Amino acid sequence: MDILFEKVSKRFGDKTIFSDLSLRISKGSLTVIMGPSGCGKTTLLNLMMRLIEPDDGEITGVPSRKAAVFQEDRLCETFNAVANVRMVCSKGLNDSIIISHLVQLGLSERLTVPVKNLSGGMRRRVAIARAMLADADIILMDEPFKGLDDKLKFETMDYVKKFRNQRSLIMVTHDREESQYMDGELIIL
Amino acid sequence: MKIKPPLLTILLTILLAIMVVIALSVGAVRVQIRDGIRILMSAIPYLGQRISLEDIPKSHETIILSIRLPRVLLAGLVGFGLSLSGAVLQGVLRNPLADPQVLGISSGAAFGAAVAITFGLTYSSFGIGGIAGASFIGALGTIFCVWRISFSAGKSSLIGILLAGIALSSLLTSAITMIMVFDREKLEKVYMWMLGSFSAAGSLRVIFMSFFAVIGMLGILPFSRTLDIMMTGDDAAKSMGVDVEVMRRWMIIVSSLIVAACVSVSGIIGFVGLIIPHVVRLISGPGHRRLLPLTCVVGAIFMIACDTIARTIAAPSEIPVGAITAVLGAPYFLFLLARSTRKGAIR
Repeated sequence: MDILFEKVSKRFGDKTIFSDLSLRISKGSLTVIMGPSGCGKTTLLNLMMRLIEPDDGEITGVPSRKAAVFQEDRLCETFNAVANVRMVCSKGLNDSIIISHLVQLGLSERLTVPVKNLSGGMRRRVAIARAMLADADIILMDEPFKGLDDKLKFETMDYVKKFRNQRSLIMVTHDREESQYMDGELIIL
Repeated sequence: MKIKPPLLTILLTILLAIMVVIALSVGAVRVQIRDGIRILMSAIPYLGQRISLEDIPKSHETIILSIRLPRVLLAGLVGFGLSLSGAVLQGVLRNPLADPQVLGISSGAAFGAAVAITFGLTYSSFGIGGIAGASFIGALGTIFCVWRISFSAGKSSLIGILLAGIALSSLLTSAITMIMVFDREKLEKVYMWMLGSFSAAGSLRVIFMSFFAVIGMLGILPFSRTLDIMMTGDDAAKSMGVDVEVMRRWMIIVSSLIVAACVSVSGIIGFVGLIIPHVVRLISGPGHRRLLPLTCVVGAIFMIACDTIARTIAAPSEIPVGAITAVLGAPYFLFLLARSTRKGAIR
């Protein structure tokens, strides 16, 4: 089932973020949402996650099982990387698979350290691995590669594309290079 | 050396059994540990018929089975309940200083008890006297008020819950002080109740408390993973499919019920709900799947040990168990805290 925004409006106080927005996001697609700062990219993701409700209009077709990468990492600070990923995985997924994913993201040396002791880039990759391994039908990412150097950014984008597994992935970015490399359906706000 | 969690659970369970046997054997009348074990085993259906107690004075049997066993079990169950509630509240409110007292539950219970003592409510029903009953109602009434104040429009605010709890707690503490000032004859009784004791333990209280311990286990332990997820923050947890509002309410209701039951049978015993989860977290790590069961066991061991000291150190007088929990627990916790800070584990 496709995700449909039908005449959706959202205001915060006096500021109208968007009004009468209608769009369709195909099921199983990789969609990149672009636009300048403050245009409502994050609001769009938050609406899909039901963290906020639209003032008008209707949003349908968003799967109930969701995974997200927020602009902030939102990890469990005292847990190590493996434990952070494990808590959102299905019970059948064992630690060796989680470890192999974290190793692919270049975290092999820091698997057992509480994430509060990891660098910003490492924490970002843990958050990405957590979303990719979550027991979810849709993955929503808000500026997921922010803070990664160029080499890591491209390696991580390859990882995301490789393990998306036909699931819907909606990514918000303001970086044209990232949107081109991800090569998805483009929505410009 | 790092002990693996299953082995740790087994070791702590063995330690709990040893603690129970020691607690049963020591007291104003000293019973040999071997005799204590035999008396205890004689009470087990089928197995008990094969154990002869002919060489043990009948009085020892009465002391152990009718006086000390209910007290030890009650202490263990209260330790279990307070520690579990503390661990859950720290997780669900994402505040390391949260404990059963912070929501005002203990103050509500104390207010109920103070009112009952002042008005001389001495009736008894299902093993719970008027004072215990009033304290249970006081605890539940307080959490209901915290609930009404801090949950509005179907949403809760973490800071709102904590502030409402602290404000109500202060209000009730002041009310208790007023009651004590205006009825000085009952001052000592109210004060001693507030310091906590298991001296009124009986089998019906054990059954009452067991019921709430089972509610705690069934109502909280299956949601260990959800508690972990909630520690990532409300938005992140919601995005992972957790209904944060429903889960937070559920956890607070269940832990409040447990605390209300604990306080009503033992009075206010501070420190345990705050410190035991932190001590266990240093051993087990922060994951609730390991933390919660271990916290229950360690809480039970600690409370039985404290109560045993409370009733034996100045026998035949008793020291309030709440004083012992703080005197024993605080230095040990400070030692662990200092060690962890040196290692950089706590920041």
